[in-house]
Amino acid sequence: MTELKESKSAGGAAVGSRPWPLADELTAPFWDAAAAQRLVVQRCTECALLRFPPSARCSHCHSDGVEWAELSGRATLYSFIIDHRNMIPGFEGAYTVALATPDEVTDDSIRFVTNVPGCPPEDLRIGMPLTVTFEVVHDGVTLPQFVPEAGS
Amino acid sequence: MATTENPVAIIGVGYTELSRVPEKPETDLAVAACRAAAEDAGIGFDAVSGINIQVHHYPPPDTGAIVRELGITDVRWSVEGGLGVGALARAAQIVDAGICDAVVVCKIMNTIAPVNVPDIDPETGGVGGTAQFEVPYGLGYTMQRVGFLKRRWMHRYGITDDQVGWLCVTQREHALLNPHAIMKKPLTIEEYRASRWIADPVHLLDCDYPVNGAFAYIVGRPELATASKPVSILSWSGAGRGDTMPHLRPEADDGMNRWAHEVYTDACLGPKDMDVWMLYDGFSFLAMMWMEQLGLVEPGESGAYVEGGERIRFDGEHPVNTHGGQLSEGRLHATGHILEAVQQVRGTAGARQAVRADHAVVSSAYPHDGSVAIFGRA
Repeated sequence: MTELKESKSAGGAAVGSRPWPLADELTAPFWDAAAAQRLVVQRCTECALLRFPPSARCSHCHSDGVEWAELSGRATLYSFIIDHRNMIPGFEGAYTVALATPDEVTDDSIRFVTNVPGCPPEDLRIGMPLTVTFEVVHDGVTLPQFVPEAGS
Repeated sequence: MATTENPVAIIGVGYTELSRVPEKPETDLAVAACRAAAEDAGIGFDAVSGINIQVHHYPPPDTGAIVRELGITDVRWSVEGGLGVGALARAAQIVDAGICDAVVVCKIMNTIAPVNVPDIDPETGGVGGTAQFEVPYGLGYTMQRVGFLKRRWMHRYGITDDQVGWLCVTQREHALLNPHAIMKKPLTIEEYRASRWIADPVHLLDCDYPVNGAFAYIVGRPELATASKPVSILSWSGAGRGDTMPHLRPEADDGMNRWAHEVYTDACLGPKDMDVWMLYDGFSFLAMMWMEQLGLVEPGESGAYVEGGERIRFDGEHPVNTHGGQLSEGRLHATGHILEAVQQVRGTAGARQAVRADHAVVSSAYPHDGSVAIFGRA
């Protein structure tokens, strides 16, 4: 097992022992973009539908033509929980898991998971504007995260 | 859907005792529950030619061994898996199609196998598939995912945590009147409030109670029943499986469950005709969402409706989960709901019998697209 650098992140969870994403052919462009501080999702080259998580073909027109579209990173907090059960390795104590809907999606079909790092649970509000940030959790592994938009 | 010509009924129901820890092999539990169901119907297994065994985890026990022990010799239909009302609908279709005159359906639950944990590579700590976008953020089990639903629903309609608590308290009252229920002690609203968080806003007491045991029922032609009153399956929804990722799909509109209109229409009945409501409560608030999705109340009004508990109590205007539901009878993946609907319509629910129970509605899985059936007197 690769030795991960121990550090502290959202909600006091120790980053070092967290599970990390195993990129595959389908998902590697997403993680590569994140490592370059860009948030991307698949866009169908036939019908332009944005989709996430990555899939081999479009659920609307069934085309396998795909390009990766960069999003603005602006999003809205859809819902959130504060985990106390701690069933995932590397996450201890009360920590936030939230869903963020990107501004580019009007039909509510894409939601990103985020810890809203740096935001105390009592300040979380459904509907609050968020903006993307990038959290380096390991050499070569960067997680997109969403934080409250400045001034909101 | 409804039967094409001849009626299809639940003709027998069978229970084993439920226990917190595993006490008996799964095959023994299944055989005991199926035998009890046949005895309740007053038929022998020579009249049964179909079998569906459902488990909570894999691998399941060998259906062949259960068939042999039961002495079913003419197996025309044998399927493993499925869940709740979806599985009931499938069995009803098999009987309606004339493939079998009687089918035994059995749900076995146990607490042995670990379930509901993400697939993290033990060597590397890596996680693939769709989970790679969730588990690295600490999201990986159902109580968290339904927590998103609860928070969003409470926010949208102004439903309070206490109101959800009243559903739990009332269902516990019902469980104390149900000899099959695993919960034997009353629950107060104060205890609900103090219940520890699993994934705030989900309390421990919002979660159903894991058990070991088996419940079974026999779907068949009503004229086969000799020992108990058959209960007609008046209509049922498609047997599709509900979404396992409810947090990632678009929010449902203010309409009803996707099957509700069809199931009511096929039964030539409406929500106002439903006397008792057996609504899936793998998590407490799902049963409240089901109340809204099936038209017991308008969207967002379940909170006010369950407050205080009187209206949904077995002797109230719309009894809900009179067996205690999965919260307090035990987690049987809606098979407990099916059996209770049969008891209520028969009039054999004992101390928890509803005043009026001509028609029962039963649901399973997630409220927006889970399965629905309507029962009535045969």
